[in-house]
Amino acid sequence: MLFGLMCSAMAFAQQTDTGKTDSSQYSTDTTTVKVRQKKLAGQRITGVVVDGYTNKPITGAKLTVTDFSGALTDNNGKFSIIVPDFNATILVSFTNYHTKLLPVHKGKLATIKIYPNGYNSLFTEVTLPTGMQNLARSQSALSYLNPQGGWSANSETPDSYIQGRMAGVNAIRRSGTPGIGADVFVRGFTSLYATNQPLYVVDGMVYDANSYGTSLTTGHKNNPLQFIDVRDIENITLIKDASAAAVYGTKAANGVMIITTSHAKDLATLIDFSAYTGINLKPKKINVMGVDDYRSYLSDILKSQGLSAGEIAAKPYMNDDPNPVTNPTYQMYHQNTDWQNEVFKNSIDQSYYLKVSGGDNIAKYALSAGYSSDKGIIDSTSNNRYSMRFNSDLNLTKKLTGNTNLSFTYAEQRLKDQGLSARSNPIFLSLVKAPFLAVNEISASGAVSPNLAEADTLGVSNPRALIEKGLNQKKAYRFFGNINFDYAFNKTFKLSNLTGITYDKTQETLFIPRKGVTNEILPTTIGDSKLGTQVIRYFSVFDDLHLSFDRKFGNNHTLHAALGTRYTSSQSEQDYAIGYNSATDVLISIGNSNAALRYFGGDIGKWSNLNSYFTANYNYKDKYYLSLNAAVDQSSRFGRKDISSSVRYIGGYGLDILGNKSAILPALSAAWLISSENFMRDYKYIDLLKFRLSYGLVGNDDIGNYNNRQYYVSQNLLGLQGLVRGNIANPGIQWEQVAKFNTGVDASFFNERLSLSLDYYIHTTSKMLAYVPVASVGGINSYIDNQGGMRTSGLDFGLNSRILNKTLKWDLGITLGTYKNKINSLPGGTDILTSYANGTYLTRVGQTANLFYGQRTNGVYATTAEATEAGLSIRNSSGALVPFTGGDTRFIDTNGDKIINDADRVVIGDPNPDVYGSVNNTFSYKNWSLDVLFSFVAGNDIYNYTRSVLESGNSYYNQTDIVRNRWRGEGQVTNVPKASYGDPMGNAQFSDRWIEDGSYLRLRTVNLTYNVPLKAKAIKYARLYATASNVFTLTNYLGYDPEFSASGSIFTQGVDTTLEPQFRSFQLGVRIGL
Amino acid sequence: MKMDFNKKVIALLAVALLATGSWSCKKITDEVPEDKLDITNAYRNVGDADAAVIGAYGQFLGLEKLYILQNELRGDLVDVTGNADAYLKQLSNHTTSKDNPYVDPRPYYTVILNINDALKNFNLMLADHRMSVDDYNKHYSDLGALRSFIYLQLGAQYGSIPYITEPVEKVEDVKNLSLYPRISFDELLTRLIDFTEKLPYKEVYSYPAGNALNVAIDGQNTQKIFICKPFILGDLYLWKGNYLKAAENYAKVMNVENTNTNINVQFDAYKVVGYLSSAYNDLVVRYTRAQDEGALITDGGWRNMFIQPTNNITWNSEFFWGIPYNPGYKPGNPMVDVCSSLYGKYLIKPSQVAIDNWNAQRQYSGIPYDARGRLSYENSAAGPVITKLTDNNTVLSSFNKGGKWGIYRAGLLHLRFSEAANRDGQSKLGWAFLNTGIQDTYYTGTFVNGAKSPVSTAEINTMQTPYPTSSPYYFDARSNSDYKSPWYRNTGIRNRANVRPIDVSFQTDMLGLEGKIIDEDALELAFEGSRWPDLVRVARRQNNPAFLAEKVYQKLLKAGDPNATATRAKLMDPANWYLPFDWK
Repeated sequence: MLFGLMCSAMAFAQQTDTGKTDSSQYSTDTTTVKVRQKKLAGQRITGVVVDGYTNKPITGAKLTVTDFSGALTDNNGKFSIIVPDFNATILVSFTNYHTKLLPVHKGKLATIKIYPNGYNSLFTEVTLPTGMQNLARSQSALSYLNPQGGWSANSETPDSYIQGRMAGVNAIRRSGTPGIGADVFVRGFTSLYATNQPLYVVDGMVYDANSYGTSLTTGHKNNPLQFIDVRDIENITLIKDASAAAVYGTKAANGVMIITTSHAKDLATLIDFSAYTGINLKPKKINVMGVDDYRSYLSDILKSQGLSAGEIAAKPYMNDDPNPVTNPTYQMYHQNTDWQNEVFKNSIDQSYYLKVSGGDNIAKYALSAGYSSDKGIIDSTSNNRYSMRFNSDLNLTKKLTGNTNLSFTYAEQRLKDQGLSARSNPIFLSLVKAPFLAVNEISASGAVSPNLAEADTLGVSNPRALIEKGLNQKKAYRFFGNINFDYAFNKTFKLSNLTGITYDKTQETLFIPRKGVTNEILPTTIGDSKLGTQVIRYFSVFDDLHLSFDRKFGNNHTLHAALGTRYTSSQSEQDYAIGYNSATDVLISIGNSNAALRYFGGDIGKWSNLNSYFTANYNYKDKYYLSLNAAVDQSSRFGRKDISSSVRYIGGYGLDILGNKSAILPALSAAWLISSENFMRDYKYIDLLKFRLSYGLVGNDDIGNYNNRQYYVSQNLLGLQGLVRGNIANPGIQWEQVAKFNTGVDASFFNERLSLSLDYYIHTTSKMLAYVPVASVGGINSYIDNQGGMRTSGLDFGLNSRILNKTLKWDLGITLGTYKNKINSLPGGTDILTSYANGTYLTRVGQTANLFYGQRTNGVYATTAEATEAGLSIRNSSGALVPFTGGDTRFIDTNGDKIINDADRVVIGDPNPDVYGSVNNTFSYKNWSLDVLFSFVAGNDIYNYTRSVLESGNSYYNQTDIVRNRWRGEGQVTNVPKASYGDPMGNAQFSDRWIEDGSYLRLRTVNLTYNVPLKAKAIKYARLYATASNVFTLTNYLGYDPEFSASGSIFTQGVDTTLEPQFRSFQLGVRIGL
Repeated sequence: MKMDFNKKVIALLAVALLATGSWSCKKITDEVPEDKLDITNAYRNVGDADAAVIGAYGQFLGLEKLYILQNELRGDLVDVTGNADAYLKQLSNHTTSKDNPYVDPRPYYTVILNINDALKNFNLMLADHRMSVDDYNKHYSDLGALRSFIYLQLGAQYGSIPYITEPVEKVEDVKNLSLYPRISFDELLTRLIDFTEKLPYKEVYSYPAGNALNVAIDGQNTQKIFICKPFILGDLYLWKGNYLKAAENYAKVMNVENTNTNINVQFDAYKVVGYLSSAYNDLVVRYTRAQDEGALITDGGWRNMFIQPTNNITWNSEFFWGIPYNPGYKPGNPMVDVCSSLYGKYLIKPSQVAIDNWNAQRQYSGIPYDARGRLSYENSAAGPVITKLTDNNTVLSSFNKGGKWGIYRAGLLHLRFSEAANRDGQSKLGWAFLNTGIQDTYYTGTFVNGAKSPVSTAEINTMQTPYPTSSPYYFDARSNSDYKSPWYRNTGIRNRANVRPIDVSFQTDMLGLEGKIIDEDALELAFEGSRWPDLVRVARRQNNPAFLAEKVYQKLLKAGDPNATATRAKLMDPANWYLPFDWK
């Protein structure tokens, strides 16, 4: 602070000086520079500025030497400018073009090429927490995205949109459900139990993208990022290292994604209107058995239950007597239904978007409104979204400026259960439902009733009942708004304050009908229909107050510094009611449920944190950059010394709370702009060569709201409510600390025809949250403490090049990412074994976190003699040894004790990819442009849970075609074990049978844009878009699609739990500018 | 001017920034949970103390399954069925491995953790006058005694354990847990007696009428949900070998209703009485037609005490500690799952030894077995099913897992008193409670047609025990047509069960009678969760491992367990009586 005050005094003195001189003002996109029109002593430089695309000279391009001189190009693109010496850097800027940094070397400059904003350039202006900065000058590891193509995007949310478009980001779309978004992993992960998602900062304010509470719809997650329309986004900057992110302190562990929404660029009124319509195609089916194969399978299963041939034949669905008198259920059980066809349907999307911007010198505005109706491929699912945004810029006085960013989005979504919900997931049901059954009731004579068929005698629900009568509705909205004031005392000091609020509400209604769905067994009765309602609210107040300092000392020293605090106070609340057994399937609101069976629940959370930050960016001669960033964080979640019961309530004095823990997280970074050095002057083909190095600490405060406090929870004794201890307070709990080391190179060659960035990083997490087991005498199982550690290291690579630059232009972009994770320490060094979807996952010191941990198999015993020879057996639940026989899976007895049990488990897969990335090709020819984006992931394993059910051969569920090859008799050589109800030998247990290679190469999007040549003056431009998504996917994966994420937790990564798959869709759109 | 203005603004803002920073340290980042109760809001008044008691008992109710399985399956009266898993089998044949979930003492310590926390906070509340001395005495004593009960169970099962009485509040306390030494069972008993004896309120009922914890809730009274302190104290003394003190404490319970103005309660409650056609004393093995074994009353009589709900007068004559289950609330009766073949997994069953025990008895009517067996288990298609732990006044179903955890009752009380009195040299008194009651045992006057017809006060005076009124062994059973003293209806455990008394020679045979009392425990108290501690207690006292080993051996032998002989040999070493106490 003292430092700031001193500087300010100096600055005032300076200002008095300049006030007297005759000065003029130039503006670039980001900075306003005053140039003194005095006799300049220095070197005169001349040259020409041309458009990198067309090679045509640019008229009116600005050239400036900061705080020294400026010039404009003439009609021929020529300029003449005086620079102080040959160490100077010239900024070349032009409206809608990247601002180029150009080191001045002795002699005449060559032709300077600058590129429009749409070109992937290393001279892009990016938004950082401290303000705009040219990518060429940054010391941080950044990825940048300018979604101009947002106009052509097809039903994307920001998190799914960035897939394949940013180096170092592995965005895994959660499912095909519209609006559900993606789990975004920036450079792998840093935590086991805390979040691994980046921090989103939208227009300077933290955007909480967590979803609070659990959806009533199984497998669904509310995605707050769907409330941001991609077409509203101006640019996205991702900070991957600690350097620039450190100011976000304990929220920055997984990178900071800075999203800037678009503001009016021109004063002229601009109206943009677009309309889209698209078609979504149902996915390729998984081949399940047909009627005959299924009957044969079913009879094997019944036989394995010990039923005699006579008993099996007596089953209604086995009775082939077609006489309606003697066999009235013949028709009912002798249909041929393709259930996947009944669940998946092609669907039509629609979307409209309007944007108006304009204004005057005082106020500019950008108003946008959107409506979209996106449909899923599960029949009758949809996502209707209404969005509105108002962004304004205000020049209140010469010194006081402000802007607002206000947005409101409402989404109404119709869903279906997905994932692990065997009774009510229509996709799962469509796979396992007996094909000989029909959708509707069928009479003895074969007449089809309009009524849907009941849940069948094999215990499988009718998926059509859930689609037609079930209701999984979600209505959600978010208001996200802030108002920002900047007061520039002078050109050195600026005080800014940003205040904003987030209000988010999700309301859900659930109805699972009685008819057609199997019953749920409740503790005291049978639940036939289920009703539910839920409200989740999130409210947050945010304030960011900071003072910034910008100054150039002499010709060579530039300093930018800022000091500020951010305060966030948040609260979330979830309230739900679940009821059962309404009178009819038409009464679907919770009030109609049986009062005795209704129960209520919820959760309230409050947290607040104060983040004080300091940042200082220094550069010497625009060649050597040094940056120090630091944050001091306090949070209600952090431990404090005296918060447990030793703090006593003392009369009216309240509590004396001391010892609040604070996080101090500094980061230091440096960059060397080698290309500006004198010795590089002869390497004309090098536009930019920069070496970066950064090291710093960031934290993760996702450690639970109240683990630092001792609290009590409710415990009933019959109907009486009492209290018991809810936890063991951990006054020492703190943020997870991630030390990030990063080194990288940015380079650009041949007049920016080729540019690339390469980064190597090491992220070391210490103080990682883990559950510490407690001795039996402690009475609880575990407590949560910062006792673990892990390390993730890897490479990011990004390349952009223009391969053809004639009439046909071809841009090629490549991103590549790879990481390796290793657990450094866990409490007591003990393994963590987690379970999910019948699988077990191992987290062990010295290995990658979350590895698939199960049995190894090697085919099937062809004969019992073969099995006897192997001599293996299992221990059944009552402790007796049961030997394997013919048709059982041949498990590998890892520990050699001849018994197949948990001790034989080994690592059988790793859900982490070896490499992920994308290849992007953009072709443009006259008015046409074609954008082709491939994304790929390689070397990851998937646990195909769905297949583990569909090939388990242990239940009445229909199976895939593979199960036709099941072992049926002595001597049969096959790799599919025999059908055996209940799987007494564990043939279908979690093993390498269910682990598949998840590598894929996908044509993610193809977009063709046609710029309609117009003569009419009323219309500024008209563009036509044709976009295709998920056009094809090359993979060996056997499920619907290899891309999914059941939850953001790393412990569920790579587990296919039967979610709505990604689907192919085609969209046509038109955009008209007025 | 402008410059000055700017300077002022900057200075002001600088101060504001700094102020924000320092202010924040205190308040701005302090959030108290709202859906949980923060420590700062807990234990503020007696209502919070009530909540702590309810919470502790709510958790305690979750211990029944483990308590019964450990105490019965390890003994000789309960065996596993074919449905039982390997862990239960291990428990039954004493080959328990360390990873056996039924060995983990954690559930006990979970309740202890809460009680320790409550007791510490009760002390703080008393010091700060947030609770009256009277409330403190009752709440503190109640939870203190409950903790002693749990520790006694731990001692009987694990032998040497750490006696932890301080709450675990912070994670540092977890680290300190390893500092608690494991003390011997004997040392544990000393400390438990010391602690329990010093409790400020040691009445039979924890909370007298009018207390907020003594209410009717969901059709059940809460009065007897709370532990009976004299009884646990009696048990502790009995284990320790201080028989007089044990008898004193048991007698306190036996006599607690002596002055009740409701004469039915006064004469029937906890006194093991004969049937006088009143619901208060319908606790006798009865037949609608004598000598017709098909006429056994199975929905009343002796089985009443298990069937009836806790607000029923019959139940209340017998039980003084029992916690009901209500199917509407968690947890449902866990024993349905364990015992029932229709609505549960049917994991345990009566052992052949238990069945043979009953079949070796003879009723007065000549029926050649003890009907208490027929009233404790039923034969089903799957095999014999224990009903005692699942009996309920409403019909059991998959959705009605009601019932009770009955812990302390008159039958248990009288047998324990007999055991204590016998060891204290009062074998005749012990014999009386075991067999035919005070009046029949001590009366030496005139009989007319087999009925007692005293002709003088002196003869009437033989209807009481020959001790001073201050003695714990003093029981007055005198009665005639004008005068009834409190114990006149007392009839003895075996009499109540309609089985013949054991030979009078045992009135002078301490060791012999002790054996008979343990045998009677098997008939009267089977499956209720006292068998293993009974065996251990007696084997310890007699320093006779064979006593215990032989009983378990017989169970395994009759069940055809190949481990029977090995287990017998193993149990000959008292160190192997105890479960492994794992620190995990």
